[in-house]
Amino acid sequence: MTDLTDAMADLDEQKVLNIVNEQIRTNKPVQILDELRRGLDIVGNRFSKNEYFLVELVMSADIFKKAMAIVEPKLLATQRASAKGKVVIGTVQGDIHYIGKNLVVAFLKSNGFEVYDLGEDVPPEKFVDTLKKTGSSILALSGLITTTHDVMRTTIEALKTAGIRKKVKVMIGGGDIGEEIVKYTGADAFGRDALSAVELAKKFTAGTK
Amino acid sequence: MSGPMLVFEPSGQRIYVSHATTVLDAARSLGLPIPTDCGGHGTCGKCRIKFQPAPFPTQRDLQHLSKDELAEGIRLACEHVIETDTRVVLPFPEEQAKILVWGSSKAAVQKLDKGLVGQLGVAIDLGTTTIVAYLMDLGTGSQIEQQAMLNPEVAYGEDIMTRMAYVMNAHEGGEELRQCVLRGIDVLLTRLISAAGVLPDTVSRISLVGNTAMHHLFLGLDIHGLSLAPYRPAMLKSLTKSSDEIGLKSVPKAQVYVAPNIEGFIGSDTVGLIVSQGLGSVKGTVMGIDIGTNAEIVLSVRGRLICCSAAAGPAFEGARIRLGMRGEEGAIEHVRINNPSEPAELSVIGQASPRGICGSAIVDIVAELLRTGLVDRTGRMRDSKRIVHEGGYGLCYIVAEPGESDAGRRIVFTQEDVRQVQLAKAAIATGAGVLMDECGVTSYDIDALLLAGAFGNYIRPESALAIGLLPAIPLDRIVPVGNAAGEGAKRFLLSLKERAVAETLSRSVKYVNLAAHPAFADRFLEATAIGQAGDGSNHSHVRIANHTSNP
Repeated sequence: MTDLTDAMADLDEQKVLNIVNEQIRTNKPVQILDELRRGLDIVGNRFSKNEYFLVELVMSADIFKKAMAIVEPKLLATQRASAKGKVVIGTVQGDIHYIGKNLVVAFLKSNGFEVYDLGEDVPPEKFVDTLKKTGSSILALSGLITTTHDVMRTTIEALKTAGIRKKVKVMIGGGDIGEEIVKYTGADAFGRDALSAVELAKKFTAGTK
Repeated sequence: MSGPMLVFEPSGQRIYVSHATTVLDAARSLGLPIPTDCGGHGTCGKCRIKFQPAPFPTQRDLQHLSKDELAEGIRLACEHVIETDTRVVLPFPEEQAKILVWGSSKAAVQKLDKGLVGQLGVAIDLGTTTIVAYLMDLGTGSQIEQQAMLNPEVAYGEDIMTRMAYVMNAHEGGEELRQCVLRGIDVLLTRLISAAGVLPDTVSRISLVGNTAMHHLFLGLDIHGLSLAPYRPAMLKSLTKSSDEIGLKSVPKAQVYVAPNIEGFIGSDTVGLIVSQGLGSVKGTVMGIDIGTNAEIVLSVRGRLICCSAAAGPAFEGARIRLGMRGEEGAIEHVRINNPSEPAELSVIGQASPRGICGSAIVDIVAELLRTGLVDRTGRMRDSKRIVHEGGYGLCYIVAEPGESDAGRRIVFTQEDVRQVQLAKAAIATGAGVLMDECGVTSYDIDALLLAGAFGNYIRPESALAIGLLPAIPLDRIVPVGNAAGEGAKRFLLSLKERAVAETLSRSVKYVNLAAHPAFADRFLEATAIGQAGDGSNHSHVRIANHTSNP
């Protein structure tokens, strides 16, 4: 494991930025990006094991973003465009919570996904429109309150009505969500946290290729 | 955590079960007694309990249970393994539960209504978890009897949102819950009347307070608006109807007054708190907090009122805590760690072995773990003699090994439990912080902090301060006021003048929608640190600015 990966995993912002600034002159940007992502994976791992909590997750996404601001201009156009896949995401209609959703957005982005974040209280039509417009094959729906399970179901039905349900994989997340709610809403899978959302997105894109 | 979740009511204990474990076995593994004679072979028919949702009856269910029982969802515990998340209701010895009934009033004594000598009234605090009723002499204003019970709606979900989801999805669900709560209240009224040895017809008034959702379910109002953001209630203003119109059967001559609500998440129980504590007319700065699944927080700066509701979640009620339970016999209620490598000092409710941890002990444990350095401010547990890896749950603090404090099994507090407390604590601290900001006051300005409700009454204020659940104020400014909502209900029962005050105040309180507050997310994340802000947090400038909000 490299110093950069270590520093990223330990959330040492100053050290991360120092190393990136230094290496950007001599090292390949792709290599740097790779080491950062590996550090981020470790953060995710620690979060899953409850060693890190929300704050650490937010910090890691923040440090990564700052590092990317240095690395990105040096990436070749072809490297930049190598997005893993497109994800449309939002908190469903009738709910305005966004902390969890924004973490999912940050982690999807740092893992190379192109993310269309529609914000909160998003009506079903808006999800459908954006999926059509962007040609995204993944939809991520967030809802914290139990009563939003019905709204998720309505949203997924809107995809069926629009005839795009088969082209889109749907993941859901939020409070009190499990296999039962996946069945109830007609989604494809649920994620417990930002990391499992990334895993699901990877699995979904691997399946479609 | 494979398999569906089984929740036992009324204790709220939960367990994930495999497809091979019967409900009876699961109950036994948690130390919950379900009476059987046959030992679980389906022959005695005694282990009957209510399932929600009810599974398809087995042959033996049909043998032992009546048509009515089957329709009510009663099944034999030994006959069923569950396929889907289920809650079951055990027969409940009410005298074992700790339900808060006492309360203290601050404001000046109200004027009793005249001409009511010899008549009685009942003040009711309709809570999400418990219902408390007080039989009062309308002529003298004195209390004659009190009775409490668990809200029978618990069978449809511990929290408000689950119940509302049920109402919206089940055929005639709203009417089912209305009847359920009416039956419960009739039971309480009947008990009050017989305990006091009075005639039902002497009860001429009832007053009722509750949160907005309980209010809507009680009146059978449309809850669609209330169930989703922006949480618009169908009705805020007060209402007076005959008991017959309301649907109560036990007191035919009573007029029922239902107090006004403030907002979708701030009900007449908060109005009761405000009125009984005189928050509308205080000279200094007073904060009142009623901690439940939602914590209602009111701040009064020289009588100017502002309030919010913080989504604390059910952690302090013992839910989402691995061995959490409500405050009843066998619950650990306080914990002190004298030496981090020695067994902790426990106090347990009733003459029973400890089998779970209730809210007050949950706060104690986190405070003690922090004080002894077993967790750091970020909430991370440190390896130590009493902190071990337990399969599937990660790090756990051993509250008691079998044998210690008479425990029958190992009782642990997991790393995940610490995380749940951090979330709950952060929600409340954020709510209090936002209100103080809105009024331009700091915790130094707070002259008194009134803790209303069961949790506020039973927690050790030292522990609540230590983890940063409450604003940093001197200990002696914290005043438990008991069931302040119930005290308010009593006032509304006795005096039409007080009802008029409630009417005015409920319209003048400023409401802050926390989730929509621009600083909410950042403050919330900062507040997840254990301890008071400024205790040396290493992450005091976290940002999760929401750039994507819809206009």
